[in-house]
Amino acid sequence: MLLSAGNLSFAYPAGRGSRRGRAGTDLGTRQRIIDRVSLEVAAGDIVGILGPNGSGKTTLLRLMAGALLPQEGTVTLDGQSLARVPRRDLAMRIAVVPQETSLAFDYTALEIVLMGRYPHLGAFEIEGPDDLAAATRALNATGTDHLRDRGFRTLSGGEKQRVVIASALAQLDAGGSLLLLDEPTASLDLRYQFEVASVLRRLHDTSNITIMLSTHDLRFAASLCTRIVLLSAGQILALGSPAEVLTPALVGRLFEVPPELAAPILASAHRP
Amino acid sequence: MTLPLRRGLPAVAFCFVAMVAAVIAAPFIGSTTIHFGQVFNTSVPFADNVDAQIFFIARLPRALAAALVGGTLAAAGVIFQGLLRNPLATPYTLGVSAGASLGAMVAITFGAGWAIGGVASASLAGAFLAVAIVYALASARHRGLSTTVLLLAGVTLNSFFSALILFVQYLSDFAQTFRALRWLMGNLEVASYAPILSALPLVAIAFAAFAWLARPLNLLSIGTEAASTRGVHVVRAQRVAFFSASLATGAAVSVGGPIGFVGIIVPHLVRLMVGADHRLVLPASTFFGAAFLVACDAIARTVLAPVQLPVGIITAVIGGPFFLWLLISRR
Repeated sequence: MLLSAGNLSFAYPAGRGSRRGRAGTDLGTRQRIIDRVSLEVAAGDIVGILGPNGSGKTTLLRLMAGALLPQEGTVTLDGQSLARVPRRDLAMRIAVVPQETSLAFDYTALEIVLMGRYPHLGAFEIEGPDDLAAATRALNATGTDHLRDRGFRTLSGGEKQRVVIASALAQLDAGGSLLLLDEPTASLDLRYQFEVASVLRRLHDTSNITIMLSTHDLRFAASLCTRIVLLSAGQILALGSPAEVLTPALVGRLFEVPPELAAPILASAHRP
Repeated sequence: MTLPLRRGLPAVAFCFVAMVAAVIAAPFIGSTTIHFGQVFNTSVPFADNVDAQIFFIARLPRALAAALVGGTLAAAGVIFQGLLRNPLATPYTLGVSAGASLGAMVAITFGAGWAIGGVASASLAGAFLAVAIVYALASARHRGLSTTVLLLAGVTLNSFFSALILFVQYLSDFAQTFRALRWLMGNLEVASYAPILSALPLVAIAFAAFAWLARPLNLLSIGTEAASTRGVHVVRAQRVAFFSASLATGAAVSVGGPIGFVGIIVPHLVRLMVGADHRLVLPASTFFGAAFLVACDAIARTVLAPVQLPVGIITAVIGGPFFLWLLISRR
């Protein structure tokens, strides 16, 4: 199994701004954002995490990326606990695309993509031809090569998202790598939603990249994902193929709406 | 196709040339005219060569001090802006200069027995005290370093120390107050190479850290979590940035007093030339900051000659309006 989570629980420290839970500390009475979740991601999967706001989708992604450490349970990559994998090595295997990227300074698109090469370079090393080639491949794969010299801040939402995906791609080693995306289409209009979906599908088909993403978009999930996780209050409500999981009864239960309301949306979602 | 980094190199080279030119040219500017040929005329013994004495003893130390202080403040400004992810941060935002000023005020007012250089050491001690307080506050309730608490603690400490500075000044006599005020205006009347040499080791340590920080700071500016998932040890980079930039600022202020505006204007100007990559912004700001302060000091020495104005007045008078113009014309 490529990436797997075993009996994962996580709670944010009470009343503090810290970003990390302390591994091994007592969960106590704090509210578990993630509650005993077990999940396996096989190479070649496109896993979609669906759930209402506050169900723990983003937290689960951050745990799976090693950006947060769980208080209970472990996440393993090829059987090795993420907590034991050196940061740089992990970065070459797992790349994360956050929901939004805002810059403190105005970098160009190419500079953002080249930042993905960080784990591949020594402390004082400068990018070489290999890194530039990797960045160019990533720009081409996301259809953003024509934007390379544009300031990132001047790009539209969809362009930004694709450049950040390109930066994540430049980061990954060729074999057995994972791309984790947090609501990649959240703030995009229909056209850009299609573009991002087609970029992800193409990456999956041509580059053999395993993808895990969270989304609110049932149609997006149904058309792209090979496996769906329904997450409710930090627990897995259902897990399976889109056809098995995206049923009016389950989706109705997940979002606390009557099944007959969910049915027409799902009917359109399942059409290819 | 070329790396974006290479495209910025000519601008960095330009800033370097500007710095060297400024340091060589500035000693020739002043109330007494000296001649290039005479200064480097080795046939006359140094003891009899008045031009060479003015150049090497009176004016060159001052130009070098301006270069050291200007370059250091500009680079520290770049680091603080990157650390706080805020282009409006300055080397003084986190209270280092307020601590340094308080130290200097205490030394001037109460430290009659201090040896020569006492004010400089006292200001350095004050800077370290401020850094320790701010760091303790920002890391007290967090595993890492909270840049929000860092910013709030720094701003609060700035006003608290300012109140203490006023209190110390209230206790001091007329001559002491005059000296204290002059120190606060920012002044590069070093009179010898000694202050430069004593600040140099601290500045060297800080710049070694800056060189390592350039790439992590690039990644930090796209977000701490984005940096972390790309392999940056975020907390370590933040700590190194905070301490090295504070050390550099403390050292610079101990030489020249709290000279304003260099640390914010120069990085902004340089970004217009080379873009945002810290590997270009840092060296270019260092060189350009040095050139800028040397030029400002040359103006300060000559504009109302024979009166020598404190250089802090010139940087503020030139820098302030220029920065506002930049702000308005850019967007």
